[in-house]
Amino acid sequence: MVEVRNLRYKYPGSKDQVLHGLDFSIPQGEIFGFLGPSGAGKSTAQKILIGILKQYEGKVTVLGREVRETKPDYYEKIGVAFEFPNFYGRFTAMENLSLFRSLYQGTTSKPEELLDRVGLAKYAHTKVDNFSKSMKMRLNLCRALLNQPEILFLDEPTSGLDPVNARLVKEMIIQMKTAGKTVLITTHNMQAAEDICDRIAFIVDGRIVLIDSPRQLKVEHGKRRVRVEYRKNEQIHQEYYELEGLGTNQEFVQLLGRERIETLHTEEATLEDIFIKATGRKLE
Amino acid sequence: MIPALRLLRSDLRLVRRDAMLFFYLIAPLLLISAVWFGVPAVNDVLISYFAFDLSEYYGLITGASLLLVSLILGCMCGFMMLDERDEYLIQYYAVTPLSRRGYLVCRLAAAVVLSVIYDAVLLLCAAPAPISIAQLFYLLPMAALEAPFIALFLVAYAANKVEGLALTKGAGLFVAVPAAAWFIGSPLKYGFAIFPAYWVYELLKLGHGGQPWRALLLMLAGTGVHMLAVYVLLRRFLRRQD
Repeated sequence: MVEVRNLRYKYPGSKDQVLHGLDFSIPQGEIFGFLGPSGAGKSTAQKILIGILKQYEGKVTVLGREVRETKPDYYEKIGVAFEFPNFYGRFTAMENLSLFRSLYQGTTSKPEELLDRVGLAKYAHTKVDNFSKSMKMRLNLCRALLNQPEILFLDEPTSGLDPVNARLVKEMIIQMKTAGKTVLITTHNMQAAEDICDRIAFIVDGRIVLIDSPRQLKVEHGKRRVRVEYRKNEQIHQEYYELEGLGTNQEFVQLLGRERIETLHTEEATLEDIFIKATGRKLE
Repeated sequence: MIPALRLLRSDLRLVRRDAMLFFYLIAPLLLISAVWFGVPAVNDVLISYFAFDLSEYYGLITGASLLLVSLILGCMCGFMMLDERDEYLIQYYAVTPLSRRGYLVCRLAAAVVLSVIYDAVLLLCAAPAPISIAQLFYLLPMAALEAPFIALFLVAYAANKVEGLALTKGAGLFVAVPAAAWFIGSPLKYGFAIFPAYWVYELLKLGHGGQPWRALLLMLAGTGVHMLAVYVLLRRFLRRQD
């Protein structure tokens, strides 16, 4: 669905290379996450994939077409939601969606159905100027889905959303995957990436430093042990046990039987730990 | 072009809801009315009380009115584009089948079409001195290109709508300064030839009395200067977008 080989880019008039030879591919039906700090090059990579920046070096094919050679009909097949929702504030949600819907010639979804899916049906005739950030973000997702795209590019899709709406959006993205669509997400939100992405790529200074499934990364970079927390004499105690031979570890088995266990966790790494370990930098 | 036509339909709704844009849309009608009814009345008064015949300057008044109409429509189009850039809507149109090129064509074409309509009404109905059909066809291409020139000037040099409002004063100079050439003889007046509006005044100063080749040359040169100015500003605007 997406093939990127040795992608290099520098902005016109700039001497500095922003992307230094990215290589990755995204098969159909995958949710792929680009993670990295601000200025790492993830937005630039996304702009290249959606055909805004065409003066790149290397090979970038989306839906079997080299992106630099695509024509406006390319946008019949892809959906894009930028980080900052961009609408006509004087138009209602329905008027905005109807306007953008009218730009497509292929099959499109009904705006009222999309608004209903994101909980905005009752605000269909409210001017977007009166929308909160969360409502605009959900409307942004509706617009990206209008043309029933094969591939969806989402920039910080859960930014500015409360937990309930963040969950709603994540569920919609997973539904897209279930329907065989491909989704590329750009985010600094590790939790969102972990919750929905099949694979993630950490991008730092224009290079991919790690690429794998969140689970695999967490297991590979974690400690192979469990942490047990229990309460004794009103004090919380912690013990660590190696995963190897855990079932036959008498000390562990006796502890489970003897004490009042409060938590029991494996010690896989968090994505943030992995990122810091791999890059020496923190996500902002 | 179907998406472009649909964008135009929504533009009409947008103009209806934005008081400033709506004013810009009807302001040329007010100007045309003022020229149509006001100029002959003022001339009568000037002749009666001051023995001053304004009709010697009817060409200048027609030119200034024509260019003002285009200036107003260019500002309207420029403000719409600045609004859309401030709201990142141009960025969004670029990732729809309309594309950035389609968006630009749509906006600039709207300015041209509106200018042609208003300018034709002005020249045919309201111009204080009679305008020949040949003059009409010579003046319209230049006057029509003046609107996208002004719109592009605003969006190429203003970072946002507030700066755009300040730049409209500068845009007014593009119309006002070359009018000075009306009162200046050769060769000094050619110093104003870099202003696209200069050629409109020159053509009107020539009148419609028996110099068809000179009129044609002025029209070709003036249209060329306008097209060059539009091209230069368009390139600058496109660079800003990246």
